[in-house]
Amino acid sequence: MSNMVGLLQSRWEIVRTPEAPDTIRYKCTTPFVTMTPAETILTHQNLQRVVRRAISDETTEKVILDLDNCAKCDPGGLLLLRHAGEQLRTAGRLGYVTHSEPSDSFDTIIENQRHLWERTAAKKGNVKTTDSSPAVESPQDGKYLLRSIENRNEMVQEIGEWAEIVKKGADAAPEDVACWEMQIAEVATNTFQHGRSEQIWVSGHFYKQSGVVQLAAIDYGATIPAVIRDEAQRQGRLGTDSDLIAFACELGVTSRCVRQNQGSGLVSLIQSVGINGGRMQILSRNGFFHVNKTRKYRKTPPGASLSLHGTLIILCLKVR
Amino acid sequence: MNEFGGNVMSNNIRAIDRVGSGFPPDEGERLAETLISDNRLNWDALDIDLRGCPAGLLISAFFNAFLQKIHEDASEHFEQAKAIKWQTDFPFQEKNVAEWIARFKPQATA
Repeated sequence: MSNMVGLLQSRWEIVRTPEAPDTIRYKCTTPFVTMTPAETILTHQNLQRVVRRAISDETTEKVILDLDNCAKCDPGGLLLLRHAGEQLRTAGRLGYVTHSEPSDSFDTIIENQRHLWERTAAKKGNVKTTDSSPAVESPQDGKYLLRSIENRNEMVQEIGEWAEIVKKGADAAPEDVACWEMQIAEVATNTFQHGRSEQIWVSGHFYKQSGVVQLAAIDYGATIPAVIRDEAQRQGRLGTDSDLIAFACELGVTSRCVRQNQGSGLVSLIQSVGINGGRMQILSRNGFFHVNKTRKYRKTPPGASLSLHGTLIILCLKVR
Repeated sequence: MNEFGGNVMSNNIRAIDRVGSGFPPDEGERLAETLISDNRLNWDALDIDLRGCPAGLLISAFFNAFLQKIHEDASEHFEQAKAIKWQTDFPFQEKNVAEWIARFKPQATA
């Protein structure tokens, strides 16, 4: 993890133009928005810098993310973009995304999140919003999925619908798809129970060639470090936020906020990630925890440079 | 009582007839409630068929809530509940269920 510190520079080049003083254009200089643990941290940190700068500058009304150099965005990246868009919109700024080549991932965020990020054909800061089709409510075969679950009672049904799409699009074995359903349901249930969140956002994508499903869920409830802190203190295990996330992932560790909880949900996920050869990333408050088949590691950047007021979990699973 | 005047003691349960597709811990509790209130149930060698239930329902929280409810409302059947034979669609589910049940420790109620 030590080499990650060297990567913590900005991946977004700022372009200001005199003819549009109210607009900041950020040109993404990295080919990926997330994909790896280091990129997840960078993406979040850089998007938060964009948001902080736009909000602190009273003259900035519009923020354009120029993603021309960015070829790929994974489900975790979609959720981080969504999160940043919501922060800008809450602060009264307008967010725009521009991407010259067709891209399923960016089309998804634009079509599903048009209230947050608008598509723009802007050049040099002159914002012209293009016409776009109505927001896509239902995911389509082979497309990226991005949806909120606002009612925990509909969670199983929603996940089942996605599983059907994956099954059809991936030609995956029913057992593998069922395993994926179980894993994302563990994540979502954990979020509803412990994050005390009323709403979660879930994103997913199936990579046909590699037979990998990537899933991500974000909530804005209490974070894992906040929820597990009392139990960690009781057991003499207080530490950084990353230490607290790692502690929450140990067998039998529970916040005790739900009486029937056994501290087995996250452990089950970690076990299946290990068996499956996939990986899992958890970003919560100022902590980061990553698990793959061979190792587990944690990262707490200095200061509060992550500061996610919620929890993002990214799962990468092989389904065939 | 059956039509012959004898007791109909059942020990084969189809879960899909008793649970819905709601929040997994709620559905786990619901399954426990239906068993507790079923006076025809033979708790010995109970066999519950989970086949056909959504895979997203059959997670650790479902089984933890099920056992916790039995422990709270019918503790006399708790050990029998831990010995239930669960039939699943896929082998990984059977393995998971066995692990979750073996690990379960009832929580004290307030």
